[in-house]
Amino acid sequence: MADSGDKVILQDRFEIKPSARLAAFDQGTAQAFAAEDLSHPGRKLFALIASGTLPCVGLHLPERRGQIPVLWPEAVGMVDWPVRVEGGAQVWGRRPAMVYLQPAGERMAKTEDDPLPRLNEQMLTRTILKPAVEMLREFTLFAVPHRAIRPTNIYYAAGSSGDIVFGPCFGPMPGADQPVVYETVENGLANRHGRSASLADDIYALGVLLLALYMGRRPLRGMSDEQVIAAKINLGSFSAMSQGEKFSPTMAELLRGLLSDKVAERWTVRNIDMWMLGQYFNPVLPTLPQRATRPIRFGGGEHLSKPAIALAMACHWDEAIDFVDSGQLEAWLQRGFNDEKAAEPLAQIRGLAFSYGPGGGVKHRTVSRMIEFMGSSLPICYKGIRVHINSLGTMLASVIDQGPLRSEFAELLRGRLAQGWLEQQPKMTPELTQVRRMLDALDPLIDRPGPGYSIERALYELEPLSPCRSDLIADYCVTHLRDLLPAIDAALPGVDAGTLPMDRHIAAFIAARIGRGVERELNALANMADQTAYRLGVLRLLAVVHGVHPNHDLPRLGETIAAMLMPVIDSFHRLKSRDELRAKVKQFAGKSQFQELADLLDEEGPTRQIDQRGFIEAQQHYVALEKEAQWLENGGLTHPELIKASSRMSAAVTSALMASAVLAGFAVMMVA
Amino acid sequence: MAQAATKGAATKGATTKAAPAKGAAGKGAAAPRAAKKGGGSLLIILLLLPVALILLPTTMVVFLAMIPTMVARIVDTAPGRHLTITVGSLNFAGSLWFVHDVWADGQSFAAVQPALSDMMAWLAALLGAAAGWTIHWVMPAISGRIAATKSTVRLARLRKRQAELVEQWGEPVRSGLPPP
Repeated sequence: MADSGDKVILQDRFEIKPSARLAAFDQGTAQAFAAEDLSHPGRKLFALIASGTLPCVGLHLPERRGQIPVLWPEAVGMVDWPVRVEGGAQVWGRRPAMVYLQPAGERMAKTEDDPLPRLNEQMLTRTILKPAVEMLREFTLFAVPHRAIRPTNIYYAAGSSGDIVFGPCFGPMPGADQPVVYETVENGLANRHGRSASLADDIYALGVLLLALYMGRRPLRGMSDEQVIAAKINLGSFSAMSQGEKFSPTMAELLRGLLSDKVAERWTVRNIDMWMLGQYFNPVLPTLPQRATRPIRFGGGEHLSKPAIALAMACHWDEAIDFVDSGQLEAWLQRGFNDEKAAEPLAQIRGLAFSYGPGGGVKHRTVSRMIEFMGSSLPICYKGIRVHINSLGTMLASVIDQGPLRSEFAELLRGRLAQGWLEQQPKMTPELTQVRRMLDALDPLIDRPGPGYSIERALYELEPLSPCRSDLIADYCVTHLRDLLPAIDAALPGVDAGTLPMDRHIAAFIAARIGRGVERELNALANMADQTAYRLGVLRLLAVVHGVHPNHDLPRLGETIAAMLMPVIDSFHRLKSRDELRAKVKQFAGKSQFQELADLLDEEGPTRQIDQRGFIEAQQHYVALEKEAQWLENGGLTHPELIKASSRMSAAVTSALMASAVLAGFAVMMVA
Repeated sequence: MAQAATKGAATKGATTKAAPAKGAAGKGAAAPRAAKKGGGSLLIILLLLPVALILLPTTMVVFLAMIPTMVARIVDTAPGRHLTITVGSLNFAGSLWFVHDVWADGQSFAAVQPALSDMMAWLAALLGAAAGWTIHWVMPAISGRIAATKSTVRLARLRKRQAELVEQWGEPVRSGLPPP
């Protein structure tokens, strides 16, 4: 888990060598390095170090039950890893690491251009299909997909032929390294990090693999990605990729089942099992889109179906804006499909595009909604973003640091384009209903600008595995709330003095993961002008996390919080209270008692209330004293009229007393 | 005097809410109080009248000795007639010499003439009246000095309390004051 000196050690057993790159085993954004099993020297291992900013499925793997024909990590965990050099000093960060045994055999194809072996039906079934089914059956139980089934990620068990093992799959984002031809229509068009991650996608990729190995060549070779997808749309995946190749009836039955473009009709592992046992299935016939009576020219080509023109619009975005504006599309839909009412849904789409989202992007949203309307099997498309509905989170995680794409993604969410895509689906599955619910819950959060909301909140709500992307703790790859406070504590010594342990990402990460409402805390963070309320908001939010995941060994965070709270203490009116509070804050912060700190300084708490009431009374008292002093200074007691009146009275009293004394003396004398 | 007292109360009443009500009440009650006061004087005269008649020689002598008081009563127009009381009290005290003379001669009409011829008795009566006038003239200066001292002490006490409040709550405690 930790390194000792320059060594990177995983689980006290595997040493990973940052200086020994094994680029041949790289998996997308995950880089491969040499590794050594300290308890069994001599084993040939390699380690995949995943990106610390993107979600990593590998960190949450269950225990493997037995041997399955796939490279499965020998060990998984977080390691302290040299991430960069700053000012001549090595900066270390935490990274997900997976240690694998190096495959004994060769890779089936080193590059996409390498020739593929040609296998007959029996060989395919024995060497490819059987291990694939074994693997997918296990993966079904784990509820994780492989998403890297392709010749360049398949190894021979030994030598350069025979049994195979599938390569590693948990390092990169699901499907990110797959060539477009191995992806379904919707995933092929999606950005690499916007592809879905389901076992149905694995089944499809397995179908393409079997087809390629049966033919001994790559299907649709030499075609651009757009052409590949267009061919799949226009002809159906099987017909497009088989390219006139002859298949035995059983093989055709298998491939048609695996390559069905409709997920509901695509075969499952159970179907393949039955097929291998010799059961006959009705062939899955391709569902081709309705063809227009006349083609429409757009994007340098002619298109005959709605999904085809939708694909072209997604690939030629700028042209699509003028195209939609020109009215050609309405005319084509009416005449080409003989549908007089075709304009109605388009008018509705324009209305929806106008209703939701920022004013400036109406045309873009109209194009996006047109694509959704005509190509419901395509991913959600908006400008440069093309994303599968199930991968909104992973896509956002990959673009959150890229200004323009991040803005486009935010516009996509604010324009309710994902909801629009769902509305165009012919059938709402339970999974889609769940996505719909999540998007509706996200809707009010995305439009609020304060910390804990907006696009950052969307990231952590949509992608539960995303690490916190705060600049403060980015190197610590915090994916779970329990690691947040220790990571902040560790990061604080390296930051500028006065840096607060909070930013938009940390606030959003907490709000999304804490599982309870933190509206009050987030509202306090929204108004930075009121520094007292802001700093108390920071404290309360961290205290909420601390309450859920207590940790009393956070000395640097405590110290920073104590320093952060000085202006809050100074906002108390009674000077003696400030001294008492400083002592208490230091005491609580030293013991990482953040909840006690929050209670002590709470705006509604007894300490604050007593101080506030006392101050108001003191102010009123001061004013009363000042008025009395002013009265005295203005001759309240020494006014001539007053003096005159009192002196007359005094003179009368004095005289009367003196006379009384004389009278008494006279009376005594007379009696005597 | 009553007017001045009401004015003073009204000025002081600015410090508290209860004070102006007090002042208003004082103003409203002035007329009935004057009537009551007039009634009291009549009662005293009625009670003293039989005594004066019984002691008629003494009354005659004292009446003449109290002439300075009558002058003071004529010039004293201020409410409360404090000057009359001041002069009258000491004038009466000085007039006791005459009383002694009359009573020493058996309190008869025959003793009136000799008593009135006693120069020392006249001196005592007039000196008493003069002392009353002197007190009346000197007292404003003394009262003024006493009031100034009281005012200074009270102001110092107020400023000290204000300083304590500032020390306890800081400068913002002054912020409740209206702008100058």
